[in-house]
Amino acid sequence: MKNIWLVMKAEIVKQRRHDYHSYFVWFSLLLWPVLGFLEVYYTYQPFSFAGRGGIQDSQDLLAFLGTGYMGYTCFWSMVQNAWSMSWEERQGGTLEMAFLTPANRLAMHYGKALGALIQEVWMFCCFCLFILFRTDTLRWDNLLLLPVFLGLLLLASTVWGGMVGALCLFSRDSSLIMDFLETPMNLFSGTRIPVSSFPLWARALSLLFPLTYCLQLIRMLLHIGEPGSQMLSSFLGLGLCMAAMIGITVWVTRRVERHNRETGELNFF
Amino acid sequence: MIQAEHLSKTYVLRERNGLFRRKSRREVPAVKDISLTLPPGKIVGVLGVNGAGKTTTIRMLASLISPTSGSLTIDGMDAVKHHLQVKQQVNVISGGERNLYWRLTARENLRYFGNLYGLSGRALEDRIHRLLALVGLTEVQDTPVERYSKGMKQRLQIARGLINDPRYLFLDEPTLGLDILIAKDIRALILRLARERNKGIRLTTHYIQEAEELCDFLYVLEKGTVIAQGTKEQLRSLFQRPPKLVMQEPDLEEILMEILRQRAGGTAETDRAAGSAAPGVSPEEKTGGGL
Amino acid sequence: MLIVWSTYKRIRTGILRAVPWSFMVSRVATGVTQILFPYFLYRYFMKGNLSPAFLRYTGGADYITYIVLGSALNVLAVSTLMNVGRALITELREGTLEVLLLAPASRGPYFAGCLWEQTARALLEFGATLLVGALLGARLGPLFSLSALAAIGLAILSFFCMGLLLSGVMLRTRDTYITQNTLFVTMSLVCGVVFPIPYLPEWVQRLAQVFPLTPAVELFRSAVLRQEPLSAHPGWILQILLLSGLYLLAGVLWNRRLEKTMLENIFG
Repeated sequence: MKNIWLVMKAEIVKQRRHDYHSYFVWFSLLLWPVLGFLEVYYTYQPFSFAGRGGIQDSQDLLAFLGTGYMGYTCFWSMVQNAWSMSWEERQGGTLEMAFLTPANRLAMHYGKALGALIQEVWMFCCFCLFILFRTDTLRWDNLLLLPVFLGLLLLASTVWGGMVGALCLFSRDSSLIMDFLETPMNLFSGTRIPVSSFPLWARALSLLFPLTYCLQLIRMLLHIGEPGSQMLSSFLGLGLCMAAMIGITVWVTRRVERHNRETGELNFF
Repeated sequence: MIQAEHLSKTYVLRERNGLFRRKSRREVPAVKDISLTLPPGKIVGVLGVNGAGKTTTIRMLASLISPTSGSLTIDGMDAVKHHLQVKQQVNVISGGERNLYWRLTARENLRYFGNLYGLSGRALEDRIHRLLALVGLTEVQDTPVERYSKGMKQRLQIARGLINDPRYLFLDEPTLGLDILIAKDIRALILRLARERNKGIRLTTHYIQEAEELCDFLYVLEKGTVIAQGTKEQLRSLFQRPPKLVMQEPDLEEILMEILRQRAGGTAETDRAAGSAAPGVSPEEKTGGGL
Repeated sequence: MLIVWSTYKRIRTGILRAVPWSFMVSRVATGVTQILFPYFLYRYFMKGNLSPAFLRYTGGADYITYIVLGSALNVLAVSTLMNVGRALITELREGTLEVLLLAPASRGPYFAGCLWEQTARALLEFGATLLVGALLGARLGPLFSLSALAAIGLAILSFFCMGLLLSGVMLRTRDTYITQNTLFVTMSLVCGVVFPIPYLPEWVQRLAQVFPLTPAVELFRSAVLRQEPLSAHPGWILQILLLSGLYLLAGVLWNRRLEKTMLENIFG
């Protein structure tokens, strides 16, 4: 157990040192998401949106998009980080060196994910929290919801990040994983448009993304959007998704280790 | 003692012929029926041309890849079955500049890899301190690796390879592409690791001179099999050649060393041998152009 | 011409070998995403409920056609900027830059080779995005008019010139990812790609004018949506040409200065 924590800590520290050595990068981690957020906000402007999906005015829209974007950025940063790290680690030969050690492989994946998460999204999360406070979604009287909501997001993103990391680490051309994940996840998990307004086929697709349940839960907690959705079913959905993701991570990691010992290659897909 | 008996490794290559046709299987034997031993405190060399199976052998012995057949034990433990436990006892150092995080400093690199081996706290910091002194990088320990020269990176690789205090070390062309002074340093270091710290070292090299200087025992590989083995003396006696009397002019290497020695006022050389010298190239000397 | 051709061929083979098709998929996917979100918003969430202001700003344009044209031209911009901008730094990373710098070939034809190689690819991506747009219901009939094609040509020219400057910035900062993304995110927000810029604060609207994409997208839309001849908008054409000239000049000057220091760094 101590070793698992040690490996995770090492990965977190390494992520911090490795990726973010310049304030310029920090700047961009706040700037891009904020600009993207604004673009979505302005994309709503050509419509008379009042009264739809529980969104009454600009304040409601901001709160809805704020939570959506915060969740999405956490999940997406995992994909992006997994992609860039897998490339660098493979090119630099450090991946093989890590495989030379007896360190727990799952701890490595989750450490990387958590490290990247803490590193990458805190500033944008501050921006989103600012918006949630400004729009009175978070207030002094419901401030206790904040740790619950942050904890939920952190846990779900780390589990997701571990899986994406495991997949990317072992695939030759993981930018494809990125393309196939980015658009559907962004569109179908309810980041920008309430899932309830989708046609049936799109709603069915949305069930595949853990982010969908995560956002549903968060918005329910904060009373954003339409009331009436089931808390319990979202909770179960998220639980199932997380169990499946951990299962996939374990399976992929084991297979790759075996494959690597047979062929000496870390490229798998 | 590492004991390998009848180790073979056959890679299976799957090649796709066209988009929809089935992949064809092709078996490539990389190593065929190799038996060798590596006792602690000894340096065992493996020589051979490119593609002779040297690297595959190293990777098998270091339990990075599993053999197709044969047995491998490390201090009596089945290294194929218990490869994770074995990884605690071995480490690999290869030549070149890879295998390090360039944006991290030497200290951060070592700390990271130390953590992966389950080391932490005072014990780890002490070990890092000792290793940095051993490879002569103490002064630049907080400089990012990307600003290091080739030789400094290679020395940091050696420190990384020693971070888990392995009983057995596998060196794959450790002096590849280094200048003669640094190569000499590294050879001295390898010798000390075996003699003073009782490490079993398996060395793969292209430089016959290097093997001759360092190795207690040699294996010669060709197309995946051992074609000759023995101590230097045994190998020499294979063909019963009479000793040659040669008048030789001092070779260029000697001259170069002399020039460098004189330039340094005769002090650098002795310092280096003691392993406490400042790094051969300062980080400032190599800043331009690198990405 | 030989340099142009050999540059073209080398980049092409390099890309084909390294990443078979993920590059193309990637950018078309980005373009399609950019269409899909407003499409879902329009079709499923808002059920076609446009505000009167939008119709006023766009002269009663069809929403889907409006966003498809904007996104497609944005894809063209991103593709051109990315390829031209990254050309030199890729060489630097692969260690071939020094060989290139030492070769007597001048930079102009080198970049023209990049342009040629990438224009084919960028147009393919542009076309793919438009095709997806047409499938979603955009009315793109007037696309094959002289003025629309001329608008595309002008746009490519201006993106190329901007790419030259971008390549200098990338070489200077030794970074591609951050520079290009910051630029692309900004452009897609302020240049009126998926919504008319009068919604933005006034100072942002003024800032948007430094990007050639802003007038280019307006010109392109006027040609396709309202089938106006190019001559109806001399202001936009002038702006595109002026910006192109400025970026070209700045790019050439900067690259020339950088090359000198690069050589000293590599060999110094």
